[in-house]
Parts: sequence; C-alpha cells; structure tokens
Amino acid sequence: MKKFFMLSNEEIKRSFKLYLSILTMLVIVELTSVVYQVLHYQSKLEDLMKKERLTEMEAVDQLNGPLTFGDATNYFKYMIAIGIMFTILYAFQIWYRDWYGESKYIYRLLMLPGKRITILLSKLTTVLVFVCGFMGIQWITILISRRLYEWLLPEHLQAASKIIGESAALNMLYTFNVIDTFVILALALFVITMVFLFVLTERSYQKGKALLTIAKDVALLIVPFIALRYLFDLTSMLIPNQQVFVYLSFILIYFIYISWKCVRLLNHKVSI
Amino acid sequence: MLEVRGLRKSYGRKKNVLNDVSFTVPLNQLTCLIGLNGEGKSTILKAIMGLVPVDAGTIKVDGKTIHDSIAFVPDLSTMPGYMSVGEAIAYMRDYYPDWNQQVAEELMGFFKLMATDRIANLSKGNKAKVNLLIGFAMNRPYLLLDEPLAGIDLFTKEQIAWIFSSHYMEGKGILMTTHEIAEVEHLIDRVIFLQNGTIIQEDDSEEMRELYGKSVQDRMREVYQT
Amino acid sequence: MLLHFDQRSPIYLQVLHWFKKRIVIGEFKRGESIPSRRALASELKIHPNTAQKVYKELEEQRLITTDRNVPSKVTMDQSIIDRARIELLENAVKQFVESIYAIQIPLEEVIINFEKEYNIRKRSELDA
Repeated sequence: MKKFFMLSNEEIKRSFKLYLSILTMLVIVELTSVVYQVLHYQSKLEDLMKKERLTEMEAVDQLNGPLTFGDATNYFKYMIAIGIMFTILYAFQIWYRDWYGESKYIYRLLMLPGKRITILLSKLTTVLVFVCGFMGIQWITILISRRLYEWLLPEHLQAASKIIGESAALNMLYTFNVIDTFVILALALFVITMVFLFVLTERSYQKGKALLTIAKDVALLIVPFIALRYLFDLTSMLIPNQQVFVYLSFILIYFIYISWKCVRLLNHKVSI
Repeated sequence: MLEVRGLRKSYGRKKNVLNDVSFTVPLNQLTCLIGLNGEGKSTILKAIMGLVPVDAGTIKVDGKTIHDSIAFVPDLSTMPGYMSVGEAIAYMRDYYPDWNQQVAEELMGFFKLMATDRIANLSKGNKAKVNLLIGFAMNRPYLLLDEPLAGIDLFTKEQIAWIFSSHYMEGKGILMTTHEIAEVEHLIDRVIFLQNGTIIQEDDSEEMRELYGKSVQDRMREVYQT
Repeated sequence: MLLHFDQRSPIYLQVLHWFKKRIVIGEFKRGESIPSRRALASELKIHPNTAQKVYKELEEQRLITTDRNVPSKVTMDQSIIDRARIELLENAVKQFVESIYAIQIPLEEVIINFEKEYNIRKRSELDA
C-alpha cells in the first residue's frame, strides 16, 4: 500500500506541470470562445440592424433566434475531444517514457521489491486522477462560462435554456449526476486499460507477434459485440433493458480479461 | 551461493541468445563474465533479475528462489532526470527495507557527488556512480554489475575502480560483465568466458597465473582466437 | 605506493613478496603495527580478500602476529626475519643465475661485471 502511494505520488509529480499547462490552455481557449461567440453575435446583430434597417426583434429572427448557451459553448466539444486525445496519448506516454526516456526508469520500477501489479495500478490511478481533474475543471469552466454569458449578453437576447444547451454529448459530460459521472469514469478506465494492454503487449513480443496479439484482443472485443447485435436484431428474445444488461456483462468480462492479461504480461513477459 | 542453472533464451528469429548457461557466483569473490560484444553478457544479468523473460532456467540463492538478495547495477542512467542526487537516494531508501544510508552517504563523499546536482545534468561517469551507490546501499549479499567502467573517462574510471579494492567488497558475491579486462584484471577471482550464448571456459584467475603463467588477457586471446 | 602487477604471476604472491621486502629492509620494524587489511587493499588497489590471503600467509610464516582487536604486528623474533631475508636473497640469485646461464657467460666474467654494476648502483644511491 505504501509502495502504491509512493509510486502514484511520483507519477503525478512527474507529469503535473505538463498536465497543468494543457489544462490551463484548454480552459483559456474555452472561456475566450464564449466571450468571442457572445461578442460576435452582438456585432452581427448590430450590423444587421444598421445595414438592413431592421428592428432588434427582426434581426434576432434573421439570426435564428437569440444566442443560446449551447451556441455560446459551441467550441467546448472540440476542447473535450482534445482532452480525450491527450488522455489517450498520456496513457501511452506514461509507459514509453520509462523505456525510451533519457533515463531508463523502467529498470528501477521492475526491480522494486514487492508485486509488479502496483506499478500498473499506480499508473492507472495517475491517469484516472488526471481525468477526474479534467472533469472537475470542465464543470467549473462551464459555470464560469454561464456567468460570462449572462453578464455579457443583455437579458432579452439570452435564450431560456438549461445550463448547457441542446447538445446531448455535452450534457452527458457536464452532468452533475453521480451515475453519469461514474459511467464516464468507468469508460475512461476501460479505454486506459486497453491502451495499457497495447503497450504491454508491444513491450512483450516481437513486432509481428505483438501486432497479431493486439489484433486478436481487439477482435475478441468487437466480434462478440457484433454477433450479439445480430442476434438481438434477428430474434426478439430480450427486451432492450435486458439487452443492455447482456452488453454490459460482456464488457465487464472483457475488462476482467484484459486486466488479467496486463498483469500477466507485466509479471512474466515484458522485456527491457 | 548464487546459482544459475540452464538459462535458455531466444529472441524471435535469433535462436539461442542464451544456450544452457549454468554457473555459480560464490560470496566474497569477484566473478567476471567475459565475452566479445553481443555475446549475451548483459542478457544473463537481466535474466537473473527477471528483467527479460527466459525460455528455461532457474536462479537460486542458497537453494532458494529469492529475489531480494541480489542488487543489479545497470550501465545506463535509471533514475528520473528531474531528481537531484540526494532526492534519488532518499527515494530509493524508502523502497528498500535493508537500505544502508551510511553506505550511501559515504559513497557520495568518496565519489565526490553533490546531493543537489540534478541527475539529468550528470556526466555518464557520474550517472554510473549513482547507480553503483544505489546498488551498494541496497545492502544485499549479491551484486550484478553491468559494464561498470565502459565508456567512462580515465579519472572517473579510477574513482569507480576504487570501490573494487574497498571494504564495501567484503563478503559480497559480485558478478560483473566487461569487455575491457585490463583495468580490473588483478581484482578478478574467477572468469567465465561466453561465446554465442554458451559458456566455453571457466577459470580461477590466480590458479591460471600460478599453474600456467598466464594472465586473464592471455587466456582471453587463447579462448577467442582458436 | 603503487605496485605494478605482473599479470602473469599470482597477485597474492607479488603482494606477499612486496610485504616481505618491507619487513626485511626494516620499513616495517620488528614489533611494529602494520596497516590493516583494508588499508593495504585500498592502497595497493587489490581485492580485500587478496589482502586477507596475504596476511594469512604472513601469519603462517610467523612474520606477523595478530591478536584479537589489535592491529597486526611484525614479529619480534629476529631469526624469522633473517630467514625471510635469506629466502629473498636466494630467490633473487636464482633468478639472476637463470638469466646469466641462459646466455652462457663464465662465472669469473659474471662476478667482475656484477661487482662493477653493484658499485655503480651503490654510488648513485649515495649521490642521491
């Protein structure tokens, strides 16, 4: 347990500066984009009113109605995509850095007293902590953006919308709901573990064999999934809720399989 | 006694990188693994530490499969570059229950290492010293040294070689790989010659001198040029 | 003190020989304490167990004595030192004769040249 905390602490320390600068960059872009959208809308409105000699009401109509908060936060989805991309990249980097970095820290890690699974868990924890941090900061950013939106835009131009507009994906991500948050974290855990499996497989076998093994593991996920879908489409044995349950059970079993495989590779197969 | 039995390893198409390698490393002796480049010397040390998987073979210390009685000193920088020497030492100390801080501090003095220097800024020789210091401070009976003097400037080499005649060697079973034998020839107790992943000769160096009037280098020439 | 080892003869014998020489010429005096094994090893840059082996051999030949918890001392017995002195002489002469014999030079000529060379050596030492 002590080893786990020490390793996690060190991993977080190692990447914290980089993490913080990426996060700051994303937040700045997001807030700027909100300000830009609001100001842009207003200037378009004024232009229309001046050039076409329209009343404000008519101009708003021409612009497809008032600026919703969803419109103002239009760029957020790209930022989130970038955040997800960085997370996946980081899941690769957190391992490869130790093999290919200036110092070959992997020697030390693999030789540490105690079980090697701790190394895996600490790296997993680190990525998840960063994901949580990212989500938390996004929540705060959205709240600030809401304030900015309300403050910059005259009240009669604001659309009466929920906190996030219409985008379903954003709603899911910016949820304040415990279950949704849990689902996002579970998804992140799954993806990160998958990336870890790729890295550890690549570090364990020669190129050709590694590619084959990875292809096999991916097929093990996709093929049954497609098969299940066909089965459910063809027959109507199960009601949708039951189908979801079958899918989830499958994913859970697959997740246990890849976790077990990661541990086994790290214990017996990886090579430096 | 550290016992290596029947190590075998192939890397994909490269068959028999190690081919049935068996030998022992007794305590209180310096055993040297000699081979031309690419004979699998390093691989043997890594295999002993479980850093590369093997196809077959066992490693035992006094008949038991134990891993916490061997310390490995690799020949490349292994501590994160952002740490200072002092931090690296403190960091390792926290992981190793038998850590001997006194040895770590003494060696830092002997090696003229500054606690505040960043690992990233150290020369190759000083990085080697940090590895060596960590290896000795782990306070384990067996030490594996991978090319401890390779690619290091003359003065640093002398500082490092100093440790071989110091009391830190007392009682320890040391296994060292090298392809430059000259600097350490007079310190070695036993020599194991490797070729194509197989042990082709094993000698007691003093016996070789006494009975045949041959130096380790003479023997090396004989072994590899026939 | 730096010993240049001949890599073709046993290191411990060379150190042993070096040590005996110090005793015979009185660099280590009768009854005096000698360096510890550790000090000897790091001074000559040899493995500590080689130093150990040398001290053990010196003890067996009773040139040094070791009591518990006290540094080893050179023997008080002059006759043992004398014996070592003769042994060194005999070894040196044996080597010398070997090399002279190999080039087949008559004893008389050897003696004349020997005395000449010996005196030159001695004078140069006095001058220095």
